[in-house]
Amino acid sequence: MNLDKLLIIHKKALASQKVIKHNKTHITKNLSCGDEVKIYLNIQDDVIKDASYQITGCSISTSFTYLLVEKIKGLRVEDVKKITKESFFDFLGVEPVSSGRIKCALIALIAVRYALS
Amino acid sequence: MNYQNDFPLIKNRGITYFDSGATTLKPQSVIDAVVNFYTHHTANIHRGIHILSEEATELYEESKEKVANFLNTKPENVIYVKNATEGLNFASAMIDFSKGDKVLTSVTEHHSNLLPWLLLKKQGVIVDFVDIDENGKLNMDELVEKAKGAKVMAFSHASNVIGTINPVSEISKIAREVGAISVIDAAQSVPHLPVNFSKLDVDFLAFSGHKMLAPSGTGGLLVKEGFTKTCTPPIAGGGTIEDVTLTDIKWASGAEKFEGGTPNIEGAIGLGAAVDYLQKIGMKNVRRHELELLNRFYSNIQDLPLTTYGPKPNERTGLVTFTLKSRLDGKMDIHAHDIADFLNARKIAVRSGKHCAHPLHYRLNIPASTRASFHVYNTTDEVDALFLALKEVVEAFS
Repeated sequence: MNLDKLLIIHKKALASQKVIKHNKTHITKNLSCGDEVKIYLNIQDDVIKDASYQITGCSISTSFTYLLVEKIKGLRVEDVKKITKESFFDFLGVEPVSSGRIKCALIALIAVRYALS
Repeated sequence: MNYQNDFPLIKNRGITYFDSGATTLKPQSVIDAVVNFYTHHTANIHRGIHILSEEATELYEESKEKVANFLNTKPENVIYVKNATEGLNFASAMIDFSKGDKVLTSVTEHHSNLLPWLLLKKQGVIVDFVDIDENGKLNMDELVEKAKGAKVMAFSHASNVIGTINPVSEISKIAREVGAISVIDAAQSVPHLPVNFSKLDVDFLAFSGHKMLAPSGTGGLLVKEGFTKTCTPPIAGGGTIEDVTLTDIKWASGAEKFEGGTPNIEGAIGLGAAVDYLQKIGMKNVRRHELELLNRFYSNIQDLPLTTYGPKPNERTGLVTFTLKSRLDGKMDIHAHDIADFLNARKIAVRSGKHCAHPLHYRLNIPASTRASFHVYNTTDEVDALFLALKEVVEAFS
């Protein structure tokens, strides 16, 4: 993802933060850089009816949290559980980030997986 | 002076390298010294009678003489280790601790000068901390007060985050007055300032070679006269003894007692070459050059929504650590990784994160920071380029 596209998503992602009515939530922190994401999931009949987040983090962690949360809405829990670190970027349909920023990009996936476990 | 031609990576990659606090680039003379050892002198030291072993031993010992001369001590008081981290761990292991002993250190320390002491807590050792003032300088009144009853006083000579140059002579004097052993993490001072081990009058001083233009896996623990006789080596093995029977050990004298196994011979030879290179420039000139870069940086930043941490240039080493705000609302910090990534796209290498100093970042109440650290190969033009790139970062994130 080029910088211009990333910055557009980043701004949208910052503005999209909210707390929804939820029955699953989890906070994941990246202690080496201070990033912190809180995921809220509203699950009904094993389907993610709604999802949201609050985040303090870099543009990558914020943007990829937004992309993931938007993508999992309406999906079955068992299908979301199948998303791995390896399949993450394909699932979102975007190019992988550089190796140094992988941890930033994956923070929301880790939070979602914990929230579902 | 412009030293860039001495560093082949700059020409080969065209990168502006501001990450010398993590590790430095290597001059051609250091690279040549390592290659020369491999191509002409490869052998183990202190063991063989053959000519290659004799040559390798001479080169290794010559390196130690250079380092000892560089830092003003005797070669037998220089224990070669793989880096400052290992040196500080050695120091903590060479001191006999009992339950209730106190180690005094500070909130600014790199994890290398923090974790070895925190590990001692399970033996009942108490670890206490000196805070810093609003300029990032140690609270000396607090230090004097807390020094009472300390067994060890372990401080960095210069902070790897805020650059503060600590008053090590004063700290060692206070340590002597209270009967404490002084341990100094000099990883960020030896590469940048004139350091005189004997004059500082400390008991242990650790430095890393790779931060002073030498190969990775090199460094030293300097010990005060006498400590090599009384201390037990943290590791033992080939080369550390004069004789051993199944019931008795007669340790080797001097630093050899602490250098178990085949050392990093080629690295040590490269370290000697790095010392030659720095001495040719002169450490006062290295310091002068870095001060010029620091002053250039500080004269540029007035127009940026940038916060730097630590004292003024003449009280710090050649590094600047900062946070940068977006102009969007004037409140949000642009994340350090975003800054580093953006600069990387402009072929400028800086460090981002917590720089192995988590407690200091918690103390400063910032999640992460960006660090630009200088050495002789940096120029004022590069500092100007950094400033312009930072302006672009602010615009991009606004």
